[in-house]
Amino acid sequence: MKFRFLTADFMGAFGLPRLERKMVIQALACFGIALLPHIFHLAWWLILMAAGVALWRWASLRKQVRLPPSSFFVFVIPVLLVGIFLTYGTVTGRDGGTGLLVGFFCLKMLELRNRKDFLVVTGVSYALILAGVLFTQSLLMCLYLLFQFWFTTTCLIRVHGRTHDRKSRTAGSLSMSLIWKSLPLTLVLFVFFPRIDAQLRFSPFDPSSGFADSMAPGSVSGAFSDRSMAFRVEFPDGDVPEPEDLYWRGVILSKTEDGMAWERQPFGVQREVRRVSEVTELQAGQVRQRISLIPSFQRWVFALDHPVIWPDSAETHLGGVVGWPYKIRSRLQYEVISDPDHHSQEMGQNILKRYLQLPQERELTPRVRELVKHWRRGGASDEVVVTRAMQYFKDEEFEYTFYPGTYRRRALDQFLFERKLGFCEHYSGSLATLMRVAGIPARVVLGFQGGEMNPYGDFMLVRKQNAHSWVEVWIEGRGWMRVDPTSVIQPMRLTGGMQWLQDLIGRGFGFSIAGLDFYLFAPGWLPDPISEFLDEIRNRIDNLNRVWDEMLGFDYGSQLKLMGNLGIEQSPKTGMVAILVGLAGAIVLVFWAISLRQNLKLRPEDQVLEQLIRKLKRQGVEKSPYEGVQTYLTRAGKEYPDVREVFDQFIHYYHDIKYRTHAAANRETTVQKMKDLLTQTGL
Amino acid sequence: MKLRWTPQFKILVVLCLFMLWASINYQNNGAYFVLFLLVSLVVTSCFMAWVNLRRLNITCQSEVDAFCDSELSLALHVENTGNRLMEALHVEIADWELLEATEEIEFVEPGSALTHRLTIPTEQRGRYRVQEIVVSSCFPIGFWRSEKRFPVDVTLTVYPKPAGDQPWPEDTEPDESHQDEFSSHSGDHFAGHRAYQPGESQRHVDWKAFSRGKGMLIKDYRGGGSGCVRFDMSAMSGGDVEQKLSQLTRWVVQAFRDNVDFVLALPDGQMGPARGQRHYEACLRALAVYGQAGRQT
Repeated sequence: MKFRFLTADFMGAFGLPRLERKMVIQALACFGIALLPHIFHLAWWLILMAAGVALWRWASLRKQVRLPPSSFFVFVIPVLLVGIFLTYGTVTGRDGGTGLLVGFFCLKMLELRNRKDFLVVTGVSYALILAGVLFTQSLLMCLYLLFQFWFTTTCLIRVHGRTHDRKSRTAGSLSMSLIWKSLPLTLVLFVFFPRIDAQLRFSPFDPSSGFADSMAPGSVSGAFSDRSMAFRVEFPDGDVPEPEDLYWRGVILSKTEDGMAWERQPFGVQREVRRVSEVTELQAGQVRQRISLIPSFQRWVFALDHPVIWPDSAETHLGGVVGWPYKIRSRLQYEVISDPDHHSQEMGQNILKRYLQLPQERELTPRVRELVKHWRRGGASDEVVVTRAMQYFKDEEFEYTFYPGTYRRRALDQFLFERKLGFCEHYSGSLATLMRVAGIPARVVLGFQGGEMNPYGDFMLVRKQNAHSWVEVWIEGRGWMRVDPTSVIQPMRLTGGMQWLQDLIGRGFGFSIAGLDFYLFAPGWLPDPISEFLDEIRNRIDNLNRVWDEMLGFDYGSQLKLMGNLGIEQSPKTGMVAILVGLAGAIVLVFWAISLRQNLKLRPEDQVLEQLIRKLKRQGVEKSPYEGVQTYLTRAGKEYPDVREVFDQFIHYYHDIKYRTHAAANRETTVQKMKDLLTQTGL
Repeated sequence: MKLRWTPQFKILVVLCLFMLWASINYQNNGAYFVLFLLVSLVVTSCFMAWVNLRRLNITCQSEVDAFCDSELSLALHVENTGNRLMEALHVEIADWELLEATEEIEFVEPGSALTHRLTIPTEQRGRYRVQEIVVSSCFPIGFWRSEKRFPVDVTLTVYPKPAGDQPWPEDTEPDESHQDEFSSHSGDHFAGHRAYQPGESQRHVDWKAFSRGKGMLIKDYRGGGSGCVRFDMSAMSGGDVEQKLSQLTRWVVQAFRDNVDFVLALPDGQMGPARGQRHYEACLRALAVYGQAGRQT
């Protein structure tokens, strides 16, 4: 049997005529459009491969090179699979699956010979639209993907017939009208299809790009230039916290090996907590937040430090970590209440031991121990030690930089006494270790700091670049106190909004590809008015995105609420399915009725003819079913000799429209003439 | 009228299940939307596919004939009585095993008609009957195939291919008028040239004129003889039945062109002597169905 990749033989792919040149070009366009949204997260070698394939195919169109033989694919497919497995660690899941789809798309382009191959191309394109949505759901991207959907459907229409591009009847316009007509059913399905909250997982797969759950300052973080949204906060009660209180608590890290890198340990469960739904009146100083979080692929969420009243479905961990019962794979909305002045009092012997655990002995060099001992001099209290430590960071020449290089051996020592370069993770990581050495229980908190109020939408946007880490220390009698060493090294970070960052990395539009930053404008290049204008545009787009996100946030909870509003509270899933089937059935029926009617309607010339026949019938000249129009009107002409010529003329026009294309072109005038003749008969 | 899904539809179902799986796993509303849009698109296209052929009407002529190895063209009158553009029609002859005859009609304007010539390659002489024309369409996006069948009654006659180079049989009833031994056209005189028709014997081609670049011309001989030629199958030597039939066909064509009386004698009967269109066609039909009476396709 002849080998063919991705085209099953039962589709009858063999022996079909070769694809026309213009269809190959169409497929190439489809290829480009489908791959464009993915180039930012695809492996570099896949992008190279795609470019190569496009060039190869293009050259083969111009008859400069030949397409590869079947044996080529036998060799290349295993290589592709292994390559994808090595790159993504899996061939399923969002990342690996997209890689696989793109790889197969490339190979299929080299094997594009007939119509059936073309169909495979459109199928892969549809699948890639879905993959694109899994990566980002921003408004712009969704609009682009909708465009891709339209284009793919256009391709499908072209391959099935409408190759002619006549005015107002192009494949594109048909595709548009098809999509338009599909919308009602789509919306019904979207609203009433029960969102299954279980995870149908056959293989473990997770995007690699979740939020961090550990801290390794040795690695360079790319998040500082990522302006995309992490989460969005609304304050329903209108009380926006002060900028210095904007610490968004995420997860706590309590274990370190080298004194710089920290990771989390299993959390204990906090009992006797209050839930948002139980609370109606807020106490003074409490802040209610409604947070909309992007998929974090972690099992905790963020809240203003320190959460006091928990989201309804949250898991309550010790340390003020708002846990979630499952990994967050989709947009999540929740409500939480925090009190910036609250200090957690939780402590016990077991916990104390955990927060005093020291890194490995070799990391604690004599200099480090000497430094801590120096802070303790004169039997200073814990509070004094903390103050002295902060003073140390302030007085020594520490520099805040995003590119501190890597610390490998004796990282803590090297950082504190030699290089003194780092960003928040270095400072919080080292401070927490030093505190433990001094006998003060300490832990690192990973979260976000800051946020921008959007003037158009009355919400606060926290971006990925706001990621931050700080330290909490246990002070007897006061509880867990927040200490942020970054604030003394880079105080602007706390007060100046994002201005300090702009100054640091330059002003202008920047974007980042595969960890490399690019700037469209050089730092300081833009005059202030333009820069402000750009900020305004950004704010407006952010606001638009918020509305969009609310639509995307439609989930099982929203469905339950909707069913509640409809008065169906018992067995809502059955209710949903019933409504879904009912409405979908109704839509199908309406469509059926419309399509029945569409072709029953008589054409204008036939309407006129029908009128004449009716009038003649009233006069007693009835048309027999077997009689043709000409015979009938000739017979009528004999009955009415006066208007015989009018009848003849009528037949002439009627035949013109029916059987002569050039007359059919100015159909309207001819029909008008027929109508005039109808009045002339005087019947 | 039938509407059924295509093989692509089954593949689409697999694709949609895969999409559903991804949507559920990632709890991604965007993914759900893409999936539902695709599903709705397929449902909507089902109506379009159904409406497309609904007002199609096809009639066709009742008899067509051609020589074997040439192309037989069956004229179909395709009419769109509806008010929508009809697109991507795929026309074929039902249960047609012998010949591959499928063709595409790009579109038919609403309320108008066109004549489509279905070209049927001929490979074997005989008489065939077409009882049903099938029109199908995968328009607009190929997941549904609508099909409409039209009962017709067409007789296709495929004559044997004119071929062979056996000598022209002698006139059996010689005329009294002058005979010229050296001319194959006993007594006829040269009456001018006419254009060569495909299928004609090359025996009378004026090769000298051809070499002068005047094209294929036939030397026409007229007048004189009103002799009657007898083409007798049983009198022929050599070759099998088909070869003999081909030779006979060639002679019949030649005789018709030359406008001479002829007799066609087959083992199962004799036709003529006569001349003219009717006799000619009757002879060709007899040659087409010789030995296969009652055979139908």
